[in-house]
Amino acid sequence: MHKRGQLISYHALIELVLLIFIASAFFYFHKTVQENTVFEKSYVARDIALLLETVQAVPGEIIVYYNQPEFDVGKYNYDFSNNLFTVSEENIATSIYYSYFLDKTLTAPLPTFQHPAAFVISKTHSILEILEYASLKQENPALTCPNYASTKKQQLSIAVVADSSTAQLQNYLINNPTILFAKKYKEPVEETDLVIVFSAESGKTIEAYYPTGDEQSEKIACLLANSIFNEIIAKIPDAIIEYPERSSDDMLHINSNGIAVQIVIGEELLAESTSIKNALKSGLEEYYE
Amino acid sequence: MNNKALIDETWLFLFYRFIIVCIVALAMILLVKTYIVTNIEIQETHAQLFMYDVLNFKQGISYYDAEIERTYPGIISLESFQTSLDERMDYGDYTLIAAKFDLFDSTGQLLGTTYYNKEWYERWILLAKTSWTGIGVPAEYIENKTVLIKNNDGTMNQGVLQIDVVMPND
Repeated sequence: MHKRGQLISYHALIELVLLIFIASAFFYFHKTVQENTVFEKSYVARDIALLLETVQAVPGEIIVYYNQPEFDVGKYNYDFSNNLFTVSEENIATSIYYSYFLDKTLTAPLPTFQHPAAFVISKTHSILEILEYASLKQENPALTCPNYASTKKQQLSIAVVADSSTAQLQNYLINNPTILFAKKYKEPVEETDLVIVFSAESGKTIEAYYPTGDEQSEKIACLLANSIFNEIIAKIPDAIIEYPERSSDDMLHINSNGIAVQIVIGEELLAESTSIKNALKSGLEEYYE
Repeated sequence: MNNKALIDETWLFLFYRFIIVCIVALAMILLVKTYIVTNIEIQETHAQLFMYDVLNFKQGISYYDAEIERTYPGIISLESFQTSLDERMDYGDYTLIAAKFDLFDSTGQLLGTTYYNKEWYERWILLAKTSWTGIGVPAEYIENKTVLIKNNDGTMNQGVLQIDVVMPND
């Protein structure tokens, strides 16, 4: 081959190798940037550290559900030991840490988490706890209630029937002046706008029943059950709600003038009676908007 | 020009081209890096949070009535102010934060001083007063809070609590 031609081909080859080298380095850099989670980890470390510090200073009781809409909290592992909050990933050496102050009188040593769905940070009875939230809301979401327009606009009369376990709910609805029904009864009355029947059964489930074929009763059954669930889920994360079912129970059909609903509450949920009472009030208000 | 000179000139030209390609690649990397924010600065927020915590904690600096288990944020008991916060607050052994609290009456007279983590406060404050910056260098945050001073005889006066927090940059 001619010497000059040989020289050019060598040059072209060397240039090609160098260009491939630079291009590869640049694409590697681009890929690293794309997959870089340093910012996320740094953000979450600071965010949770500040949240922990804030929660412990709250004068009363508080429960915070922590999740991030922007990224998956469950991608990382978390370690809270030694006042140092560490966020790490498997197979990646770089861990992000952020120090936080924590009142040792409030808490035992905090746990570590691997890929938690979300956190529950709570301060109750002067004890600070961090637990994994098992994403129950996604598995067991609140109900979507029927969108029928409410036919009852005025709170004229209510009858509340209860067994011994749920008598406190009956007393609340009957005796509380903020429940604005003009007439209140403790037994089923035929000519009543609304009959609510409370009962309890073992477990953590909220069930509701309504008379067959009555859309309005279905709506209020759903609203009340949903309202109880939404209030109670903050305290008892594994509470379960079921969509209201039709029932041919005589108690629900006594009322010829209005609507009727039976609410069956799990006995383990009844401990949160204040939440249930608040929920009943807001559920009724939602129906009688 | 002979063959040897031709070869040398071509290699030299190739070398310059390689350098320029490298510079262009580096410029692109720098440009991309400029737009990536990885540093989240929350040190000042952290210091302020500590101030509010100390004011709201029942173990903190505000007056706490043990009988009814209630804290009165913003009311400072002169009697308990004199005891070191280290005896009341336990944030663990990790040296994260230190603070000095000066209590003044309404005329500006200093009534007392107390510390949280005094040992580290005295170390860090020297560095915080310098103009050094960067990771690990302490920074100082000072805030004045208007408070009510509960005197030993039960009367109350207006006062000012100056909180001087020093913490190293993480």
